[in-house]
Amino acid sequence: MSYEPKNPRDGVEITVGYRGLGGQPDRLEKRTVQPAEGDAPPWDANTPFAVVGTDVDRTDGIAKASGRAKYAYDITFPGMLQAMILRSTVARGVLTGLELDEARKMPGIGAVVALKEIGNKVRFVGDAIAAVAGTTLHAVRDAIEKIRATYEAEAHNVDFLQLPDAPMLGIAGDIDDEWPADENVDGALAAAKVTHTGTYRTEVQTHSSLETHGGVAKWNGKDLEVWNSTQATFGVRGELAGALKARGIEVESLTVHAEFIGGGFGSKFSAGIEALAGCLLAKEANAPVKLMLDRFEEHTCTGNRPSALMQVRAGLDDKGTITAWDWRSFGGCGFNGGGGSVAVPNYYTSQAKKRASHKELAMDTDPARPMRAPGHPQGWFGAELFLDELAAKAGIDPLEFRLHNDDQTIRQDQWRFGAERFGWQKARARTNDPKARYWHGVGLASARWGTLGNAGRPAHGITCRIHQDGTVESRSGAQDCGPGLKTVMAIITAEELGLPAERVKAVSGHTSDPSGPASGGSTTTPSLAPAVRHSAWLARQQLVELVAKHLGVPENQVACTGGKVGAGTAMLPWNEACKLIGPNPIEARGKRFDNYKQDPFFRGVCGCQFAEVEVDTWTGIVRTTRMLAIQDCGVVIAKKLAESQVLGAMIQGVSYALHEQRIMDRTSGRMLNGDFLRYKITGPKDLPQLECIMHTVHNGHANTSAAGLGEPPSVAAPAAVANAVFHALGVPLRHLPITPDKVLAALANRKV
Amino acid sequence: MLRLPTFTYHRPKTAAEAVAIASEHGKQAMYVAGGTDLYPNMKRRHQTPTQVISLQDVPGLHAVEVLPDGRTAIGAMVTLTELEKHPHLLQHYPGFAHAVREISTPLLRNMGTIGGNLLLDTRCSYYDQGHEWRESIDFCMKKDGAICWVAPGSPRCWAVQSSDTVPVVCAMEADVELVGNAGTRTQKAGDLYRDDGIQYLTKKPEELLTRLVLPAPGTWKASYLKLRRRDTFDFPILGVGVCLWFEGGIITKANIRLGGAGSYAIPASDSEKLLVGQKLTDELIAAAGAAAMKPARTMDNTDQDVYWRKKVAPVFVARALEACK
Ligand SMILES: Cc1cc2nc3c(=O)[nH]c(=O)nc-3n(C[C@H](O)[C@H](O)[C@H](O)COP(=O)(O)OP(=O)(O)OC[C@H]3O[C@@H](n4cnc5c(N)ncnc54)[C@H](O)[C@@H]3O)c2cc1C
Ligand code: SF4
Repeated sequence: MSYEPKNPRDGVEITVGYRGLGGQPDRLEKRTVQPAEGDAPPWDANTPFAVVGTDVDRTDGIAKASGRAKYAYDITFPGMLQAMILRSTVARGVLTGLELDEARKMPGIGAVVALKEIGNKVRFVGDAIAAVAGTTLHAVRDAIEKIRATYEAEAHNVDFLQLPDAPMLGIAGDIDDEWPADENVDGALAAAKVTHTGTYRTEVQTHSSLETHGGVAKWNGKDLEVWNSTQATFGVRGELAGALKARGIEVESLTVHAEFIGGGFGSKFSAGIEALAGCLLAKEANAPVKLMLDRFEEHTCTGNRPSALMQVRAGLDDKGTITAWDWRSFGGCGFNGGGGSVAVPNYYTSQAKKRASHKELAMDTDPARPMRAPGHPQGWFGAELFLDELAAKAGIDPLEFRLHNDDQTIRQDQWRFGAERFGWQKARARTNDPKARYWHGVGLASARWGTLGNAGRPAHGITCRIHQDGTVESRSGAQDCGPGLKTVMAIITAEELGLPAERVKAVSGHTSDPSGPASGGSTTTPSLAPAVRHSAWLARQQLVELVAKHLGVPENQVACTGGKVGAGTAMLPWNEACKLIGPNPIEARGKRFDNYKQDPFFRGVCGCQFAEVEVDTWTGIVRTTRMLAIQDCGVVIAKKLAESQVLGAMIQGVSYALHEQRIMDRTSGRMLNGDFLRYKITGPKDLPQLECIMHTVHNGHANTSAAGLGEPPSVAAPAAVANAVFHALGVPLRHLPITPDKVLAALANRKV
Repeated sequence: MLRLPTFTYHRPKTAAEAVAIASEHGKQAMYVAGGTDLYPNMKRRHQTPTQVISLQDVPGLHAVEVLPDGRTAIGAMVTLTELEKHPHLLQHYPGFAHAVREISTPLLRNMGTIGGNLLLDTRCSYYDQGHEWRESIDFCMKKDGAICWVAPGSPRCWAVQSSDTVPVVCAMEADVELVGNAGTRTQKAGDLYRDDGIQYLTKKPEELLTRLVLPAPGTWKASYLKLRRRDTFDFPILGVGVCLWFEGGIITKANIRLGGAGSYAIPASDSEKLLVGQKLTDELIAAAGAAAMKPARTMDNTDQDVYWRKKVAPVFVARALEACK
């Protein structure tokens, strides 16, 4: 790319939109946007990318696969102590006694701290009571067994449907409570040609990150360093600083490291009691302390996706347009009664009279935490399965029904393209021989999201360095919790500098580097991609100045391309050009400017998924045999990684639809399946054939047109599977996970 | 964190020495083969031997041998991985080899042995938990407690027989060889088990299992069919072992054992009766399958719905019979 001038004051004309999927027509439009002063000029649909959107490998793939990547779990120091937390054994009550002295006297014990005081409430099985650090986990375990904690237990409830303010369910599992009157919706329902109602349920899903929560704390006088498995390095730093201050512990500097994270899915925003306990123990013991949770703690103390109960009634006019939509939902939350809200698609119902209500029901379990598209897989399952039932009642094909009601153009194109590629019509027309053992079905569902990142936070930045020896660094203090921030940083920087991606060393996850967002709401890439771009663009300017001077050509003739820098025939190889830099590297700090206020294109992210299932009617066992996702995320920067996000979301979706379920023992309030042997997650042999087609959309909202991707594909997958099961059986299964007992029961009740 | 308690580790060089150490320490001693069942159990304090006797160095336990009379003797220490790949077993005992292949994961099969698999502890959702977990519910009858959480009024434990090879080995009427203080004895594998979740074995604690002896190939056919939630990793929640003896196309003897459906591999006697003296037709298979629902004694202490597990027993029995065609 040749050296671009500064952004003109009267704005830049860019081409936004997308090229047609398959044989579809392009939807490209010209727009004028006004980038902020000092920002890099926008990339658009006509930018000839050399690296962006190509199949670049994950930059840390080899490090991860070979075990060289150091996760929080892997950090160790000489003299480091190990630690554990004593957890409450009752689901609800008051801590009446806590004797720590004996534990303190045990051999090898360096520190014991109380995390609750006598008289404090205990809110769930696993509530943290005290923490112990010692030379080995064995010593710690021995000491923990010497702690005497007593409780006054109170009656608890770990089933949200048994709570006094839970709705009444009929025998068939439908909510029996009357709908409150509402003129608007009642009128629309009365006028509708076809109406339908249904009640839908989902169960609690745990995040099940492979690396458990926790980390290492190390004091050096009043300076504290923390290695934490987190999705929010800066959040953890703020939280720990505040919590330590509140305890009167002085901290002069606090650095958080999270270079590699073994999954979080939304459960790792907070430092949590475990990180704080680590810091307190390390202070008391005057030694570094590692505290990582075990698998049972991970399942029961670090949040979950709450269960949901949802009911909807809706009506259609004679054209098949949804004219009434009445929704109510209940979330099965933890003790704090939060985080259980349910989201539903709004793009099918723009013509409808609508109402929605939600109520949180608090159980005596650990609180919900955000989990990959909080509220969405639950709500989309309820809504999309309901839509298929409604369409079936009206005699309309589900795809036609979507095309008729979906008001989003991008998804309209994705529906058509996906249906063609999946062979929807043919698969949908196939009927099952009632005598055959295996029945097949296909289903579809939509995905949405809408984040363009934390814009307008110039503090969110990226450092780009070019060294004399030709090496290039891109650094962010934000964390790469798996999706691939580092790869995105390398690709954008390489694109700007005319290098292959592997020439850029991307480093993330140390709060000593420029700040970035928490990895939530699919905001990491859209927040930071423009800042990466800006940093590389600034660094390139500095290099171009040097090269222009050296060659005696005007700066605007100097290009960085194909690993060379120069003008015309006088192109210097990259390493030669970098020799001009001298001992002080070029260092540029990129900023995150606001998104362009011109709002050039659709702000959201669209997608749709298709699934095919095979149901063994003898046993009720459902297998997903084939899935296809069409997904956009603004401009696709790292194609392989984007696809991997979508495939992962589909796998997690199949798992949620068919397997995952927290099972609680009501009497003791404990999780019965708090390990990976019994908390079932889809295994490799249960996986369908998966295909993902990424759809690049140049949204033109900032200099890179990036949008978020982590969450959107996980919205559609469970609903698509449930719809396919409905198609196969002819009866809907309205309660996830779709276990074989439910399938057999449904088959037995089927009216033939 | 689960951790191993401390124990003394013995490596006897002969079977007699092993039995002597076991006898000397009584309840404090346990044998270990691959350790894939014992060590996790020790970590959860289900089993708390202070003396662990490794069978690694005991001669005669490590080979698969075809005996002069055509039977096949498998040393107790032969790993599952070896068995699933063994050409002789694949050719002549495909049902058994299949059962072996269905066990857990390749990593566990690399360590796990056939001896350990035959003697696998029974399982239950309320038992297969850490010590603290169990302590907080005051334990249960199987270990350290007084009550059964699955059937609170019950005088007995209903923990589930969960080995994949046991149903088919019992159906095949294989023999097991045991070495004890009184020397070596041989008995039918089926007689090794008892309908009790706690005392699930009939053998004396110090008795060492040395060999599993499979009957000589002949006019019989055996099969095994496993039900579990996923195709990988999971313990059986139903495991049907079938062995049929034929003479001129007529079934002369039929054994059907339901694993994962009670504390031992339960015979589906009604189904067996239907089969004897008949040709294995589709109608007969369906009828024999249907008769297998009654004996399944599923309890709510393992994965999946308790009634569903019972309901699908006929399907799995029928399919296992189908495989003997
Ligand atoms: C995650 C996981 C999944 C599993 N899935 C399955 C499954 O799907 N199906 C299945 O069948 N099993 C499964 N297992 C159980 C186990 O791995 C196997 O049963 C294995 O074959 C046990 O053999 P081992 O040699 O490791 O036994 P060990 O643990 O060494 O011994 C098991 C028991 O037998 C006794 N013992 C062993 N050998 C002898 C002997 N020669 N004489 C006397 N006593 C002896 C031991 O004292 C102990 O009580 C699973 C285990 C795990 C951890
Ligand atoms: S069946 Fe009852 S006694 Fe046996 S292990 Fe389970 S809870 Fe304990």
